[in-house]
Amino acid sequence: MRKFLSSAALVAMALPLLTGGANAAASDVCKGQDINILMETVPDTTALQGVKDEFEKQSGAKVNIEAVNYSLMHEKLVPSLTASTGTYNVLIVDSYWVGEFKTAGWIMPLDDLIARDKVDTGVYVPSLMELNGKVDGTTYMLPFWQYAMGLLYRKDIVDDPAFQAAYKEKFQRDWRLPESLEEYAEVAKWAGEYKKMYGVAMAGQRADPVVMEATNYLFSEGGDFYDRNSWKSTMDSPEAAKAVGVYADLMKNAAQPGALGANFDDVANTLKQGKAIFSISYLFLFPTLQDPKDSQVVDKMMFAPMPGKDSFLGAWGWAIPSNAPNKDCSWEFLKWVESKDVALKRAMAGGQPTQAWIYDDKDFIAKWPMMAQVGDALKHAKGLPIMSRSTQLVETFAEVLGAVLADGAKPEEALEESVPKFNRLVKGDPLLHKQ
Amino acid sequence: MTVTTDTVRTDHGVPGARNRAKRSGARHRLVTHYLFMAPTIIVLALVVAAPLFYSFYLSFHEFIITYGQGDFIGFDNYVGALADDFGEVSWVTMKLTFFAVALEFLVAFGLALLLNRPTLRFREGYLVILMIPILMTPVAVALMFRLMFNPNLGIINWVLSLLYIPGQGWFGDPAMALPTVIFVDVWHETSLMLLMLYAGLKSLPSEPIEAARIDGASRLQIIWYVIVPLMRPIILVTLLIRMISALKSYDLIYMLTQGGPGKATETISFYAYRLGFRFLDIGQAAAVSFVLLGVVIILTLLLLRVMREN
Repeated sequence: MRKFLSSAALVAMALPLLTGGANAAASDVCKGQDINILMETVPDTTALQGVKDEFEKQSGAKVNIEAVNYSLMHEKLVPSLTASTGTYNVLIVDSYWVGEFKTAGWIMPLDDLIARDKVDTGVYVPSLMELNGKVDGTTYMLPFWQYAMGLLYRKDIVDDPAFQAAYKEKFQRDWRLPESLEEYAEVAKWAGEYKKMYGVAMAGQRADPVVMEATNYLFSEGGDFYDRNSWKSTMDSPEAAKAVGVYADLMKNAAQPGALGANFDDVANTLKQGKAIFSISYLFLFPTLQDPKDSQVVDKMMFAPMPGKDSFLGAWGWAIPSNAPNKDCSWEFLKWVESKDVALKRAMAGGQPTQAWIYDDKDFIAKWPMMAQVGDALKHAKGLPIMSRSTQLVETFAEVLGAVLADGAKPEEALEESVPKFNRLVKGDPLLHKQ
Repeated sequence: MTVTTDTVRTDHGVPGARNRAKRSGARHRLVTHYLFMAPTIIVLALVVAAPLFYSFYLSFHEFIITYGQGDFIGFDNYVGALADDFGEVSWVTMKLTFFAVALEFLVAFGLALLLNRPTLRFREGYLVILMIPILMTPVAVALMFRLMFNPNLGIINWVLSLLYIPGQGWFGDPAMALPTVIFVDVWHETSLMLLMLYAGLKSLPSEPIEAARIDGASRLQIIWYVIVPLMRPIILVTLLIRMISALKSYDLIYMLTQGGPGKATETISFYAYRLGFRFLDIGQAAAVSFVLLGVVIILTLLLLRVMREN
């Protein structure tokens, strides 16, 4: 009887969401409601802040955006998600939190709602839908923005004939963008010395900044954290050792002072001041690099895919927390924010689109020409494995990098020591046998 | 009141009855005391004792937030936590505590002596200025110094460049990070020590100092042979209080370096935070916290003993 009653209660709770809300307008379910969202201080948040009034007018809800530094987000979210009723009505989920949030049951499946309201998820770049949309074939998120990474470089410097002549003299070949990680390191070190600038701007702060950056080096060399079939760690591979070795070499010999304590804001500041030539960093830095108010490199920077094999791809996805107080209204917000019109407005304001058609939009490419390169970058990009403890994977890799960069440990030894730790993280993970 | 008086009068001359009445009164008073204290005890039990016992309980269980609470695993969390990085972070904590407390004491004691000079003018003004750091939240202090020590934008490297000294990496340099954190800590926390030591100096009797002066003792001799011995209990208490708080350093570390580069500035508290909120391993984080609590309890007992003796 008790079982029956609790099942009935669950059905009663879910019914408005699955049926009652079927034809509900946003104003029917949102009027007078608050929609609280925790977001990172990045251009996509600014872009959303610019258009959120439209939803408020349409729905009568108030959208409260709490924008904080990335490092604060996870620890603010976890206590709210473990409470019986959460603070946040809508979540944005980083790609490497996906497994953790799914395993813990913190986000709700969206497939029924997508089918009910005929939301077209085919508009998204397929790799982003895989990374930040579906887990085990169930849709939990709608991709919000991507943080493709690659090579940011000073176009004005590398296009300078004098620079190219000096390059030819040094490397005995015509100028070309680096094609491998090793070549990138050589060119960056030389270019820094030649131009009396920092060869590279780097973000070595623990844990997320250094790991995001160094993962590009790892993937570029063809390395990975695990064999994604057996789920045994491959961090003792020669590729991983070489990647970490090159990263440490650049950090020591070509980066700006204090790079070990820098995050992506510091990288952006170093580039904006015209002090560095190259950086393996985020494409989303371009709106700030192109801001004439505080950048000396407007129209001087360009983006190219990561040299070598693959680059790291991350993204954020919209989700509804399982403990959200008014899920109908949360879903209305998701539908609105990912509607074509709003997605394009956000992209034009400096956001990083996840819907494929936007990259073919002429106005968008005219405003953000570097975005034309993203298609290539996404083809050769991969994310962190979707596992329940990928947040801890980031911490563990940060420990390895810290040992090498700060304590002077040899990459091979530090990586070999880390293998049992990486293996412990996948032990008993319910998500992995299905990947 | 009248009734009580009458009762006593009636029982006068009957010792057993009088004692019984006394005992019953005492019991009544005791019950009343407990009743009045009950709300406080209940609140304390709920907000202090319950979480403390629960986290102690968790420290013997496998508990990773993603998977939920697991089995009882005895001392495994303690063994795991102590085996991993505990040695390294303890060493960093000890260095931070020793140098920060020592420097803060030297600066604070010097300033307190200067402030205590009878001929000093504008004493209150200086005192207010010197109290400003302790009035600021650690987050504001950290943000201010993060900007000042920023290798590219900060004023410190700019000033060094004027003197033809190369800029430093400060928080991003493994060799410089801990000394820079200690500098910030000294700037922030010296005020507290100054306040305590200055209050101690003000409470000293003036006769021994006057006597020493009449006997021809120099200023340094007065400080070393008269003031320091008289201040000994206050100095000890001040040092212990500050040591206990320095051992738990977390906020400045979190804001300034996140424990990096590498583990160059990772303290025990930050390590516990990292285990709990980054690794989501609540069991192991609780174990580390209880080890730290053990050290703090030992120091607190020492502090209480010093206070009792003096």
